[in-house]
Amino acid sequence: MKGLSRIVESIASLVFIPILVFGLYIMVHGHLTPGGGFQGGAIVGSAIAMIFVAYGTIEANKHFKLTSLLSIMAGAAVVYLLLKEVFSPYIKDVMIGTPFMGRIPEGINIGHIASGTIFLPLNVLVGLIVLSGFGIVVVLFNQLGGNDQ
Amino acid sequence: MRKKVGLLVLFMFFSFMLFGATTGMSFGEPEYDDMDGYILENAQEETASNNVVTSVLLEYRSLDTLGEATVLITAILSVVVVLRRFAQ
Repeated sequence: MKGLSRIVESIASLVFIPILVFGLYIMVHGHLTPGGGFQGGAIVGSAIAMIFVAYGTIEANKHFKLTSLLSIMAGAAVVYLLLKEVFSPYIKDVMIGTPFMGRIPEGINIGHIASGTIFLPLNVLVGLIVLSGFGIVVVLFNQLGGNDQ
Repeated sequence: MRKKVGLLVLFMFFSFMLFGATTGMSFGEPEYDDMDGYILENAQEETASNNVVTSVLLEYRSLDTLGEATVLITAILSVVVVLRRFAQ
């Protein structure tokens, strides 16, 4: 797919980092505000799609490789399985009320970001799975359109 | 003839759906609300998460979230397998 004009390229490069920050905010605050891993991953994946539309296939393929996205997705799923289903009780004991992470207010609170003990890394992992899946689909469908640039 | 039969079937289906929607269960008041009541009452204290949806997704039904990710990965892998030959 061919890239769009210079105006679209510069606006996309301006907006790309704020979209990444917003998606990461949605992921990290998943246990406090509406949203979570899936929604934040969808936001970051749409930013990847925007880069592909604005810059064209050849320029964008230098930054988003198919194999690296696949390995990110599979690795995030394996780390999710280990973290939640195997090591979750031990990690919770480490993270609550120890000098390592500080005293975490357990139960109802007004919104400390460290209060959801294991939810923060789990939300980020789910977001990684979703955004890399979205990116893989975008990369593949872009390569399908041909490299006429 | 075919159009008349189609219209009749559509009308019957529509009236059946309307009948079910108006005289069925009341919206927002389930007959058995033990589990959702329990989750709404205790989710904040048990999981230390203010967002009840996240506590259901990642604590009460965390294996379900893992299965969802597995479904996503399987779908993506099948897309890769099918489309990679054409993409080269």
